[in-house]
Amino acid sequence: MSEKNLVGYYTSRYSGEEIDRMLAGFSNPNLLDNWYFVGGGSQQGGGQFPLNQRASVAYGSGNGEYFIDRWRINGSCELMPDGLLLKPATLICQFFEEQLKQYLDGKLVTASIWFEDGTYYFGSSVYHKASSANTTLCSLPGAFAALIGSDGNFYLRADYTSVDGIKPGAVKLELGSAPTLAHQDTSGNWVLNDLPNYQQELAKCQRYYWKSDMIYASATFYGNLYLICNVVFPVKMRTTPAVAIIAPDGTLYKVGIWANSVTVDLPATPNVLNADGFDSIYFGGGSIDTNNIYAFRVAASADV
Amino acid sequence: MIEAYNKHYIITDKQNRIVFGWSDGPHPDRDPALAICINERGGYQFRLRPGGEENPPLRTTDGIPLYRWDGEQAVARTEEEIAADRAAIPLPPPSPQEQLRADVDFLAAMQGVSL
Repeated sequence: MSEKNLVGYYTSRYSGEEIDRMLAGFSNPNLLDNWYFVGGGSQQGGGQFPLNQRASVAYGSGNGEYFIDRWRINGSCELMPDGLLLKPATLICQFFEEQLKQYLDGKLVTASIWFEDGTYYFGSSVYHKASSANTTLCSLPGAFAALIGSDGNFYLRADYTSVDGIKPGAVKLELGSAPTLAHQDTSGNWVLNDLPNYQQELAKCQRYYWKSDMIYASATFYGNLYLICNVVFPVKMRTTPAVAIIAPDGTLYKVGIWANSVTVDLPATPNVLNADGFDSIYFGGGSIDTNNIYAFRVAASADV
Repeated sequence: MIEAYNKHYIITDKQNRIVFGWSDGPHPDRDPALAICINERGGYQFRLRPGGEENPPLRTTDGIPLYRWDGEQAVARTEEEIAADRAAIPLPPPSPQEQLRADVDFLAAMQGVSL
């Protein structure tokens, strides 16, 4: 190599190890929501991850139902203290909004997966919002694969040949070719660069789904057909959500009487509904007693 | 991959007015027995027509249906049709306060007192 060709070449004053150490805490934003799976689930009520407003500890579905917040599942899984146990041949998926797909189209993305035993896998590829085939970003044959589906959504698959399934602790999708989910500590173990912020993740998830605690509304009516309740969602939702009113005994699309817990046998649907909330409940099948206080929960879904 | 298709349903009344609609994505437990399936390959959220607004309002704020089903598609009802429905709504019975006020007014009138 001639001396001329060396013009512009830069020799760092730091060693490779020093650079690694300096970059250890560097972390790109995670394009995935609810990405930290260690903790056993938020249904325990102590701020644990992952966000799990639907509140089961085990899920199974053959048609891509939502389970923990933002994630859909084909197969079965359990929420464990040290990760999300995906049984063999289980696929979980996070659907993206169209504008994110549009933004990522043609750009290089990197997926990384961290397991609490300190193992770490990552890989990169160009993102396509629609293609004829899936794009595998990283995989461990016989165990798992992280991929962008032909539909442009993010998938994590536990291989059918994996004996006990897999138990990821965290997963990340980010722009660029550098994986910044974890780094190696001085002992050589892979440790996370960041822990998620609970309130931030909760707010992100509640843009898509919200399950309330009990709500009480006293008897203010318009023509006996409406129960004025002014329910305001904690976060403006992605779009006008599909709302289920749930009586205290769990009956769907009904309210209950607070004083005696009796479920009112009339269909209850939200009225004047938008992405911010709804102002009343409409009882299309008849009128209700104006002398009661009513109780109900709300499940609002603006999932993609 | 996860199949993204969901079924979208509507319920109509005797005048073919659309009184309710939903997708079996967020509402897998809702019974479709009396409903019309308007889209077997819809998205997760309910739409009256492909590419339309997600979970659109189907009634005015006072409960009057905004659409009717013509057998093939949802059609927006005219202002006149909606106004006619509104005019046909029976007045709600007087509230206890209104009843009490009427009684007081009656007694006052009987005694020649003006309130």
